[in-house]
Amino acid sequence: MIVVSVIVYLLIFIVIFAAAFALNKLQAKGGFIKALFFSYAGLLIISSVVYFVLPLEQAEKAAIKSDGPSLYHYFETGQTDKIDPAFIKKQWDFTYEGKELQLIDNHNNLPMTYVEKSAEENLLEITYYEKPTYIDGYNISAYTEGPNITLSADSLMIADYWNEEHAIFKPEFPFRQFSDIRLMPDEWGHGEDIIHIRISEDIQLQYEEWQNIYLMGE
Amino acid sequence: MSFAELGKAVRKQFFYKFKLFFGLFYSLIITQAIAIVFSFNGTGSISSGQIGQIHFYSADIVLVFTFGWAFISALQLTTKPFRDNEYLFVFNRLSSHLSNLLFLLALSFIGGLSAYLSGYLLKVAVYMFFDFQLIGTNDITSPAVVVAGIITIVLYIWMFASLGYMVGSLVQFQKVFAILIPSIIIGCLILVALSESEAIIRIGKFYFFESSFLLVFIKTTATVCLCFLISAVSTNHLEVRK
Repeated sequence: MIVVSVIVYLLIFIVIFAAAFALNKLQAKGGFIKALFFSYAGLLIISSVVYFVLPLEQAEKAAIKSDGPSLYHYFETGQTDKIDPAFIKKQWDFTYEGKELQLIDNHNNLPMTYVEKSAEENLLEITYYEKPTYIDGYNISAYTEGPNITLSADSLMIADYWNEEHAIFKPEFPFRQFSDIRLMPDEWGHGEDIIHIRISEDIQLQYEEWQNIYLMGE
Repeated sequence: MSFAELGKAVRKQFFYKFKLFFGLFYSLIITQAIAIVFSFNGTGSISSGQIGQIHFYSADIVLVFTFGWAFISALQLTTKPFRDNEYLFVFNRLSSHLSNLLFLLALSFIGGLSAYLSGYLLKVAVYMFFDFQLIGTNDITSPAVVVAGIITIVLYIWMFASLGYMVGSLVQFQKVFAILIPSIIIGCLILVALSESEAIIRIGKFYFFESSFLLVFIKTTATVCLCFLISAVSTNHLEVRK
């Protein structure tokens, strides 16, 4: 991408430069530098105008706010029914008829997983809860995706769920020193997230000890 | 020489130097272009399990490179080839220093304004050519902060230019400074990199963490005046063309 942007800017610059050079009929070395200088100035001015014209979509501005007890509290006390449904980010409903289920994850930044046994037959219901995440005064909950969970044969795969890259523009440091804006965010409100698996009690769940998995009620 | 004559001489030299040393902008463009490419990777970044990598973009690197450009350009002004170029127009040492002071201010103004605008160039490039989701722009909405910020950029560049000018003048005064000053600068950079010099960090904070525009103005202009005073004193014994 760096190469593409450099090439595009180089092309724009060459066009402006050629125009400036032709228009001014500049001479020798002095003329070259003048043309270069005014082309660069032109490019900077055009970029500034484009910046203010571009439809820059941004996250919603919001201050960090308290949103009730920790999600862990509900799971530790078995009060999952009291969790605000607004915190449900993703849900999966599978019908699983096997007797053993292997839980696989790629153990990369996956949240804590609580497993709840149920008397219902062939049940495999998964809910991903996530509280709002704030950064730099923006509510970025809409930018988080949650894990990708797939069922295949006798295994449940919880895949790493982030590969997006994001950008936050900042003013330069002489502007920041006269405002409240900092380069690295002071406010970084991580929203808690938990995976809740409800599974029939006759299905034997298999997983490794290092996996962040807790059996509820045990 | 009367005050009016001095003013006329300074003005004449200023415009002459502006014309003569226009080539310095060539190096400014190259410097800022390289800094913009370096900035494509972001000035900072954080990562989180839920959202992934977040890059922060600003033209801070361009500003730092421009400070370096101002320092080197001002230092160049004191070197023999550049001094020889101004030979025809120099009335006395004072008029030369004053015209250099103004010339460096003009360079700083152009360098500062282009560094500021390069921030938009960088952000437009990131938005249009990079596959990033934009979270926020953090645009400064207060006109007072925008004006104060632009003036501060110019003042910082002028300060670095004055430092370069002072270093060049000191080298003219005693050649030993040609070895001593780079050694001190490199030593300081190593100490900063090793985070072992509280004094250097305090000097940095003194200038760059000041939240009062008035104090920034006083600190930078006082430094500029001090640098030019040292330059004037150190080159006082020299003839106009050595």
